[in-house]
Amino acid sequence: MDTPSVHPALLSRRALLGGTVGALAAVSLAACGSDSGTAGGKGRGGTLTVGFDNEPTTLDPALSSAISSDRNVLNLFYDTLLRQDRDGSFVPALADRWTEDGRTVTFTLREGVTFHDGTPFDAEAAAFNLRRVIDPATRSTKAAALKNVGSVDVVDARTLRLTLKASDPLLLIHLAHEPGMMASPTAVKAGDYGRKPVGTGPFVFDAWRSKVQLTGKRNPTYWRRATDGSALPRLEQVVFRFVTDTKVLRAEVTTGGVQLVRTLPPEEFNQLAGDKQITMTDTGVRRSYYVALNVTRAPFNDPKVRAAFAMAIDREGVGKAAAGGQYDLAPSFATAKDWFYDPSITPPALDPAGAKTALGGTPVPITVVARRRAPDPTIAELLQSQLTAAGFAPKVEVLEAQTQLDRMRKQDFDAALLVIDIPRLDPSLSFDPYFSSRGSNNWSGLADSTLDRLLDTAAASEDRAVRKQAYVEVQKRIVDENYWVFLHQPKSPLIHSAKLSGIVLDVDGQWRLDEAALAS
Amino acid sequence: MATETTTTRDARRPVLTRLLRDRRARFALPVLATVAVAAVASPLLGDRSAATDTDRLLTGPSARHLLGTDELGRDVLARIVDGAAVTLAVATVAVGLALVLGTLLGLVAGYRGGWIDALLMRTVDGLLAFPLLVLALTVVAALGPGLRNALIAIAVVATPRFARVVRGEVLSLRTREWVSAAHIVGVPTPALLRRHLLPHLAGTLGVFAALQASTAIIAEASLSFLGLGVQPPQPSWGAMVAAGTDHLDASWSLSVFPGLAILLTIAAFNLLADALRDAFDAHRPDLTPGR
Amino acid sequence: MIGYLVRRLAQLIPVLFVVSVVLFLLLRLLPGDPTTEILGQEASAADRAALRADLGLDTPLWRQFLDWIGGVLTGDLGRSWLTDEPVAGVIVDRLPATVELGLIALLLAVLIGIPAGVLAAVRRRTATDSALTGLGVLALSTPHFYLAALLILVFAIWLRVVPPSGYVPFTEDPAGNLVRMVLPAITVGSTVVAVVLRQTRGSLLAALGEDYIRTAEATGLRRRRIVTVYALRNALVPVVTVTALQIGALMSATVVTETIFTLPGMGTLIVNGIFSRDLPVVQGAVLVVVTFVLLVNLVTDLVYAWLDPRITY
Repeated sequence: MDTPSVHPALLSRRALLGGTVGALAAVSLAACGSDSGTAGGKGRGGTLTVGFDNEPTTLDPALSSAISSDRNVLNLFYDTLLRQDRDGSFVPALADRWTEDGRTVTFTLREGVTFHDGTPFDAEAAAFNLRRVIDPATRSTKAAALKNVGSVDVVDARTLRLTLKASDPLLLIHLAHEPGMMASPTAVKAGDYGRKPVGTGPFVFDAWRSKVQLTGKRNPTYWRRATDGSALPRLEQVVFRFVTDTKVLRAEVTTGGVQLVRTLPPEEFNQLAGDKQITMTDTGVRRSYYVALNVTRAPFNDPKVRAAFAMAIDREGVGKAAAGGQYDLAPSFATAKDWFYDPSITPPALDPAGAKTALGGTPVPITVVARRRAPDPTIAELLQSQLTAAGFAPKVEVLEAQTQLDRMRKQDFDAALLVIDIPRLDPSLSFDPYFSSRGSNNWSGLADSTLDRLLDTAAASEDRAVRKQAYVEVQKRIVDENYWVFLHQPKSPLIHSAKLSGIVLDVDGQWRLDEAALAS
Repeated sequence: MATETTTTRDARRPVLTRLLRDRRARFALPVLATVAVAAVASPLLGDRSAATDTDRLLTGPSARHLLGTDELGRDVLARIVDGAAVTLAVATVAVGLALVLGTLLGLVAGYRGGWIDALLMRTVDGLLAFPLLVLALTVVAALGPGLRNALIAIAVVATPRFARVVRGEVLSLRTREWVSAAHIVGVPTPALLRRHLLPHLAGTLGVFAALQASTAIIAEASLSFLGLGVQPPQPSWGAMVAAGTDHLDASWSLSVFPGLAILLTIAAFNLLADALRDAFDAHRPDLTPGR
Repeated sequence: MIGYLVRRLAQLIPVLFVVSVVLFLLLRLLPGDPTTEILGQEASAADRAALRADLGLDTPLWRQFLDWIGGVLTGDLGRSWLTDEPVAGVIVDRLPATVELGLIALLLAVLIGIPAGVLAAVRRRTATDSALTGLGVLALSTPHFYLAALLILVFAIWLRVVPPSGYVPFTEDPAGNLVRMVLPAITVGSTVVAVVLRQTRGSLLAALGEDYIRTAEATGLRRRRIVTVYALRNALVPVVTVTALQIGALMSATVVTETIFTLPGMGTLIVNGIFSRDLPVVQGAVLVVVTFVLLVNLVTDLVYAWLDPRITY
């Protein structure tokens, strides 16, 4: 579905240089070719203004509630013990090296790093952060990520040892993101921490005015160096401006008011095509729209009715209307680039007449709950029209986020329209919450032992082949049973000024801006 | 008070005749009649306004779709006609409800006085101090979105306004001799209110209701703009304008035509209020349009 | 006069009580779990329950109300559920944008609405009058969100004469602040200007018909002087009243306008607070706005008395 405006990602995937310091593979995303990694002096300094639609409620990584978007901001201020590159490999960060030994992981910490407030970063500080996430009193939203960590021990000032209750293939992934971000213990203890973050990261927190903007200034003593040995970060200042209206955001990009934007919907970014000042790169990030069917009550406790629902939905039509043609169709949360993607999984073919026959004449009343946030109501209206044509009598309720989720948790709905951003850091983080019978977001009310078994197998294994097979089976099962109907996957390209280069992305597409530079 | 209509000359001419001679009313009444006819006739369109067509999204006016199509390929003209029903409901049901309730409360407060008056008026003052949209928004958010609840919210917002205006009128009327006289000869209070006071309120209430109708339509449109108005697939002009402003670059017509419908209807109510005011000669600052 | 002032101030107490009860109960009727926004949608049921207990949501309503109102009376508006900031601080942060928006709108009303109204009145039944009155009706009949969208499209996207969004405090960058406030102020001001125009025209026409004006005319005073000095002075009394009555309406207009222009004002604070179920913030902000509106009403009555010597209390 690529159009000329969206370039395929140019990912220079470099092999992992095991244990070598500072060997972070720079991912060149500037499709126009203005690579940053070359001349250290060129493009140094300057203020990068970012248009951001999803203002964090807190800058305390332990309390961050957004699934991933807060990390675009948190990466400015915080480092983790290790980093995970876009290709999934781990490289050193605040830890020089680490060893895994069955039930323990031992980190050797980098020397001479201090937090922005001068507090030294040592094993005590690292332990403080991890214990804080684990401590139930913190109410950390990230506590579940470290659930397998039994104890956090300071061996010496530079050595930290984690003892695990059970082996956990996801532990390093978590430690490389929010749950492992290192905050200054002095600042945390001082209170009101969520508004005044202090980390070791490339930028020092400067100011945050709610609904307006957030500013970070260059950390002159940042520990990390570019591959050519020059100092990082390159930018003097980063400003996140909070703009929620997508039309206004697009206008800001066009007029140069912002040089980087978190995301724009297709109807807006389609209009940026051909603008030479703006670079758009398809980095593989997608939004995945889905309809979850409530299997705990009639009519969707009947597999035939679920199949009829799937046959009623014209996914191409939804994509055309709601994503301006900039979308993929995929059988699940997997995108074509994911290792657990299997193109052979196909949902039922579009067949409204067949659905109508299967439903047997009398319109089947259903309640569809959708969120009041563009373009969801539009999609819901389109589904309503398609479902009516296929013999359903759908009632659409457009609700606020909390109300919709409340209804879904209480299983007080028949079909629910929602979206998640994909890929996530690991497929288990996309599938488990939604399809495990114990999942926090088991909207459908599934209690499918086959699914549970497959999900457990996939999550517990470190063997990618085993995992892939399990996840493909999971997807097959979901689609065969029509628990969910996956709609379209709108593209979410990386959009920035052609002058900006050197943006590095996390596995799930969130930014790291320490290597970013602005050409004058 | 002398204004454009010289009181002495026109005083004995019936209100309706004066109204029909007014240029503003001659614009407003046909517009409102059209809205009413559209609203009543909209069921004749069947499901034309709900029929989506993903091969014809956001097209401009054409022979097939006189006013173009919207973001789901639906016929904009059919949706405007269908949406008239919502506008009419807001202007009649919501404002009517507020008129009845507000008048009742205002009559009681103004006529009875005492602690009832104090209680009612403090409540009214309190409710009036809420920004209109914030109160309406909270009520709808609490009751859940949908036409019925939007109507309730708008009625809740408008009721205290009617109550205050009516109470003011009653206070000035009850001191008149004929009211005291009726009271003395033993006319029961309800009858007195109904037969003697209410007719004198007709002018004021007419003007005020027309003004409130325009306010109410704007409130509904704003609620719909914020996504809290009627629910799909029922079209509302406000929601259509909101969708139109989202797609301004792709289709100029999608926001212009429903916008025009809304603008003309509100203007018609405002002008009707002006004309009514002159016809009834009821000039008072609190009968000035505003939101 | 003093007695009247004291009486009116005393009346505010029951009004504010009614307001806080209505506000509190109305917000508790909102469906949806506030912990969803705070903990994220993937939090476990146990974590959400624990947080609800933390926020005191498991205590009876009357208890929650007393806790809140007790805090308010001692000057503590509580803390935001979402960001844990003190509500009072958030409000102080958000007031300037809204106050500025309102002041510019009122300024426009005085600078444009009154002269235009006078012009329409003295040129009664001419093309000028029709054009001005017509524009007034048009302004009154255009929903704010529609006007705002059109202004952004024309001035920010097509002509690019102003930035499409953003806010800088006046104290930091006066020019940058004003440039960004122009479109929102026009949006909010459109209604007030129209109302003032219409009221000025109407009152002035009425005043020009009064006996003392006729007398003045008979004595041969210049018409310009009659209009500006004698008639306008009396005509402005109802204009002041009507303008003040617009303050509440103005707040309503800023709700929509701030939302569209993403201005960090009271309007966005309240709307976002309702949508994210940050009830302490909504309660505090609405209470401040309502108190302000009530005080303006009071001051209006006092000004009214001062302007019109015929009124005594």
